[in-house]
Parts: sequence; structure tokens; C-alpha cells
Amino acid sequence: MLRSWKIALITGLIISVVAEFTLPMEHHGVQYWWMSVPAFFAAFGLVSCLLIIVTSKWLGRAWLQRSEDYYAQLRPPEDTGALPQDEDEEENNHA
Amino acid sequence: MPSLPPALPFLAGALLLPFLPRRVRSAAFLVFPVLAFLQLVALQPGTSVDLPFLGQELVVLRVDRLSLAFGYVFALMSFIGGVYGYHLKDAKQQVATLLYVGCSAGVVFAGDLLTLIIFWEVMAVSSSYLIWARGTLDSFHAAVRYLLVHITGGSVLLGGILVYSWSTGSLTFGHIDPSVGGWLILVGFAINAAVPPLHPWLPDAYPQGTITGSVFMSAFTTKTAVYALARGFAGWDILIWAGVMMALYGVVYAVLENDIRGILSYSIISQIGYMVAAIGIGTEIAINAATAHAFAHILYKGLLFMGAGSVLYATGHSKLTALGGLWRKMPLVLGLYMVGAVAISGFPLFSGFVSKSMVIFAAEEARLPWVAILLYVASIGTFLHTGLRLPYFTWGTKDSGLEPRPLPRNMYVGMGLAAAACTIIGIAPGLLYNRLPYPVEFHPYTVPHLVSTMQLLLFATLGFYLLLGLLKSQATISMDTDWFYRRLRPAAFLVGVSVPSHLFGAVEKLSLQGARALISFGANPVRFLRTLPPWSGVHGPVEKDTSEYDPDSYRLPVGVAATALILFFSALFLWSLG
Repeated sequence: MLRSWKIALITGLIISVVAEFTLPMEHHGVQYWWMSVPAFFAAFGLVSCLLIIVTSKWLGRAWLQRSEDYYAQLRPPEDTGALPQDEDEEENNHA
Repeated sequence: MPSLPPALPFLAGALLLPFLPRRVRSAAFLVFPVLAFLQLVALQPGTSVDLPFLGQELVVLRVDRLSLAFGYVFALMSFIGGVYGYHLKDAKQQVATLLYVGCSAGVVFAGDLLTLIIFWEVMAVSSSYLIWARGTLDSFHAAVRYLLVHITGGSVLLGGILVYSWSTGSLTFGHIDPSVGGWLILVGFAINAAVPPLHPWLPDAYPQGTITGSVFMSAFTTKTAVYALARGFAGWDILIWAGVMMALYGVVYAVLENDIRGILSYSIISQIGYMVAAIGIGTEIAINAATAHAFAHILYKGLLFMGAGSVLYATGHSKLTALGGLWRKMPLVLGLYMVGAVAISGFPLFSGFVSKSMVIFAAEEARLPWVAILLYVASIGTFLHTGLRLPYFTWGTKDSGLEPRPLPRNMYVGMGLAAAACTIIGIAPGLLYNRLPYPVEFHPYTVPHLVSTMQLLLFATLGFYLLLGLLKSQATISMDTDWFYRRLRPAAFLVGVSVPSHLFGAVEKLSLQGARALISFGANPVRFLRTLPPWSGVHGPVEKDTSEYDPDSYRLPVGVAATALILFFSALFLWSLG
């Protein structure tokens, strides 16, 4: 199962690059330098994907990721289960 | 057919539905989008209907090609969502949904800012019920936060509208030029468009909503905001970079997120980034691109939320850490989800390919190469988290041992309709392009575009495969800008509630003590002065007088003198009359 997926992916990779050199590549609209670099989008796709994964994971580990009860920790201790019914907040009741 | 606002069928439906028998409610729900669609077909661009209200002429219906494009996709998506939620037997949710959809349509066809804000506010309230209705403590809290954020946003918008109409003397909703009022209106719209740092309500609320509720919410709130930005702020440069930042911001969080509907929520932010950037570019092709991308996005994001909702419905789980190996048990849902996934990733023959590329093309045409490059990066990110990571860890990897319960048939039909729409737009883009605000001069199916897209996507798959180990989900949440109102909540409570209330309490106590002292002073001044401490300096001569003071001893002389005075002045008064 996994093997056939691998073969399909490798075939696709090869075809997509070979196609660039065999099919007529006429760009419409404004031309940029990267449009004429051979296999630019292949390299760009791979490098961007790796960069996204590494950067996101690094940001997550170093800074962003917290335990799942990160916000729940701050709830008052009695506030743990059922939906609040008609309870008045005690803290601001000075009457 | 008379020219009526397309919001009307939905709003009438919201009124009517509770009075229909329970059995027919779900079927009746589907009638209103159809009526709205027929109404849209009958409307001609250029139509405008005024309604006098409190001395103002409100433009409750203003039809042009921009509003019609959004109107069509709103009607289509509400029908598909209605089919997906056909099994739902909850009149309250159905009414809230119709009200929400109707108000979204109301915003899109509102010709003036006053009409807009009325629909805008009702949208916020009705959609918050779709989170509330989930019935868990987390969803209750999320709904309250959602409502507070949107009420704040609505207030900023209202403030902006008041300042803007005061300075320009007009309530007409058209292009807005930079001014104080204009900036406030922009912030109000940006909150609903989920532009960071004003976005955290979205990934906070959508994973907590009901299964059907989140499908609707993913389609309407942000896209009405996109419409409003396109109408009022086309060509504002700040939106170009805000959009690019959004597109990348969403990617980072979606890669870290553990909840499947959370991944899709951050993916919305990333996709809205394309639309916001295109609106910032502001050329005709860019506005076309923003509209086309909103149209396509509503359908494939709806489909993705339906797929994720189906997993949640069947297994009771929505965290990647709890899911896995479902491909044998839910193959059809996987297939339908993947149609949405390849559509959002921009695979040829699917809707994202014909809309997303238009945004990038608009950036290239506007000589903004960096915008184009960064949007390419974001599109790789989209494919990575929504097209690869989410399905791989939900349906692939090792079996989690979950036994999914069967789905109602209507859920499959709803997903099938959305999948068909994504595919039809991809195969026949003319159907979409003919409904855009301006004539379209763009051909997505060219050899270079097809080849470059396939290279990008396939080599991104290779990258995913190489770093698969890193992508394994962790049971964490990621801090976002809601940190400021969630983590700082105790401090905010202290500053905003506890301190003022203690302060008021202290002042109240002090004034009561003062009043008590005055009473006691009035009743018996000498005894009162004697109770004061020696350092107050009032004791002086009194101190030597140790005899008990009797208030009665002065009553008679004082009383007689007072009576005499009253009589004297009364006599004076009578004399002056004469």
C-alpha cells in the first residue's frame, strides 16, 4: 500500500519536471526571472515545505505551544463541570 | 417578481419555522435558500430600493455584480448546509442559522451603512448561538468570548460609521477614503475578516461550534467582511501586506494545531489573506480574484468542515492525537474530504486552481513580485496542513481503535453536493468567471501554470514525506492573541471589576459613616464632640465641663425663638401681599 504510493509520488515528481522541458512553456502576462529558471517551482515547493515545517515547529516548541489546560488553569476551582445555571458571581457582590 | 432583498426569504423563514410541525422543518429549511436564489436570478444589477426610516432614506437593496456574486454563493451554501444538517431536529439552531444567513445576505445587499450595521449586529448574536448550542462548558465560554469580541467590533464599526457620516454627510456605503471614521470602519470590518491580531475569536469559536453550526459559520461571517472590504477599501495598500501576513500566519498555527476543526479555522485565516491582499491591490482583476476566491472558498471550506464534522459526529473525537486509521471505516468521508482538500490546495480541475491562481496573477500584474512569492509559500502551507497533515493523521497512520457510528445519509448528500460544486467550478471556470464584478481576461489552464502547480504540489508532498516525523501531532494548544483576554483575564478582572468595586464600596462606607456622624452631631453636638479623640483640638473649654449635657434644656428657648421668627416672617409676607 505505502509502496505503491511511493512509486506514484516518484513518478509524479519525475513527470512534472520532465514536462517542463518537453512541453511548450509560453508565459502570459508579466515575466519574472523565476519563470525562466529550470525546475524553479519544484525546488521552491520542496524548500518552502521544509521551511514551513521547521519554522512552525521551532516557533511552537520555543514559544507558542502550551498544555491543553493552559487557559482552564485560571478558572476558579469550583468551576469544573456543569454549565452555569443561575449563579451570581460572588466576587463583585458587596451588597 | 418584485425587487425584494434576498435576505427576506431567510428572515421570513426564521419567523415561520418555529410554527411548522417538527417533521417538516428540515425540508422547509431548504425552501428558503431556493426562494432566495430565485429572487437573486430576478434581480437586475443597478436595482435600488429605498425605505424611509426615522427621517433617513435607508437603501435596503442595492444590486450590482459584486453583491450578486456573494448573494449566489450564500444561497448555494445555505442550501448545501441545510442538506448536511437535515437530520438536525433543533428548531432553535435552525432559526438561528436562517437569521444568520439572512443577515449575511442583508449586509451584502445593504446600500447604506446604517442598514449594514443592523444586519451586522444581528449576525453576531445569531451566530454565537451556533456555538452555544453545542452545550459543553468549553463551548459556552467560547460563545461568550465570541459574542464579546463581535460586540466590541460592532461598536467600533458603529463609532466609525457615525464619525464617517458626520464628516462626509452621507451614509452611502461605497468606496471609503482614509479618515478617522474610515479607519474605524476598517477595524470593524477587519475584526470580522479575522485579520491578525484581531483574529483569535475565529480559531477559538469554530472548533467549539455545533457540527452543522461551524459549517455555516465557516462560510458567512468572514466572507461578508471580505465583501465589505472589497466594497469600501479596494486599493488600500495596507491590506496587501495585512493579507500576505494573514496567509502565512494561518499556516504556522495550522501546522501546530491538534484539533481538526482548529486546523481548518486557521486555514480560513490563511485563505482570507489571499482575498484581503487582492482587495488591497484593488485593480479590476484583483477584485475579480478576491470575489472568485471567496466564492470558491465558501464551497470547499464548507466541504472540509462537513468532512471534519462527520468525523466528530461518528467518533466523538476531533483531536488528531485521538484519531487515526479511519480510512477503512470511513472511506467515503475521506474521499469527499479529499475533494475539498485538493480544491483548497489548488489542484488542476478543482475550484482553488481557478481562483487562487487569479489572486497570484493579479499580484504579478500589479508588479508586486514579493506578494506573489509569499502567496506561493502560503499555498504550499495550505496543501501541507489541510491536504496532507490533517487527512494523514485522521484517516492514515495506525488504527486508533475508534468505532465510528454510521452517519445520516443526508450528511453524505450535503458533502456530495459541495464536492460537485468544487469540481464543476474547476472544470468549467466560465460559470464562475461570468458572475464576477468585471469582465475576466484570465485563463488558468495554460501549460506553464499546470506544470508549475504540479511541481509545487508534488515536491511539497516530498517535503511532507521527508519530515513526517516532525509533524506528528501533540496534545497542546498554541498561544495566540486571545492570550491578552484569556490569560490576562484575572488581571483584567482585578483592574476592571475588583478594584473599582472595592473603591466604590469604600466610598459608600465612608459616606455612610459621614452621614451617621452628622446625625449624631445634630442630635447632641456636645456629646458628639466629647467622643472625638483629644488630638482633634475641639475639646478646649468643653473639656473642663464634666456635667452631662441635656439636649432638652435648650429645646424650650430655641423652640420659642423659632416660633416667634416664623410668626414674624409670616406677618411680613402677608403685609407685603396687601
